[in-house]
Amino acid sequence: MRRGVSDKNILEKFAEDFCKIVEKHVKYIVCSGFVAIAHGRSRSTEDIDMIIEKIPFEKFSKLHEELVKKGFECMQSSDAKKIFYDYLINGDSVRYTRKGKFLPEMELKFAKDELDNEQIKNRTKLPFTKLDIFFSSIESNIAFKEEFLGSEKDLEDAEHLRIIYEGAFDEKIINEIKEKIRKRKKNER
Amino acid sequence: MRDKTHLEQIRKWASYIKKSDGKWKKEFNEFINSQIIMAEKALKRLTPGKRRKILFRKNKKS
Repeated sequence: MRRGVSDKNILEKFAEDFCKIVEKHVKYIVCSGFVAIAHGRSRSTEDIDMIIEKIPFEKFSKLHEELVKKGFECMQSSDAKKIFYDYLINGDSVRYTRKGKFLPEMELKFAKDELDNEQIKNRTKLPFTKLDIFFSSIESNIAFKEEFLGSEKDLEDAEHLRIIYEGAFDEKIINEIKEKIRKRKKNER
Repeated sequence: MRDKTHLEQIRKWASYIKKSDGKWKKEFNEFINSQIIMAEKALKRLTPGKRRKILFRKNKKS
């Protein structure tokens, strides 16, 4: 049987459709649990995590407008001003779903510091996933899971990615990112 | 750390479950299945050696 576009399941289709719109307005990365699942980790996630460059309201408004036009809605508000000033600019995330649906959802937030900006700068597509999506680098994913998130699930995700990309990632870069994460943690205290 | 919209989302989802007369189960099932299918597809793309390593680690854990 010939299988085409429909070969993608609802989660993959949702993520790719959403990312395609966002990319027209701003640079983004997808990180965290979705990355692990896209690499074969048998675990679940409640949402897809996306970080976008911090952009001015006018630019965000156009992005939001196109998302709505293409059938997405923001769970926090339909008002771009409210989303921007009550949530994003304060460092809080907002959640988008397909109109009238609860699942899947995209958790979107602004880059909060240089470390996030660097992740966006070094973003990459990961051909192994067969998804047309920009991800944070493998080094970055491993570093954040081991140094920042650190739950049992995250450590297992990191180990999983280390096996998948054995010989294809740079431990020195991981350690550099971890050092920056430690500095971020120190500054947040 | 999860931010405030995560809790908002949990409340909205729980409230939807209460009101949806069981319709939520289909949505939820489809969502969970899509994650399992995605992971299975990825595992199939691995070289036999790496797949063995992943499965060995998984079995060791359980």
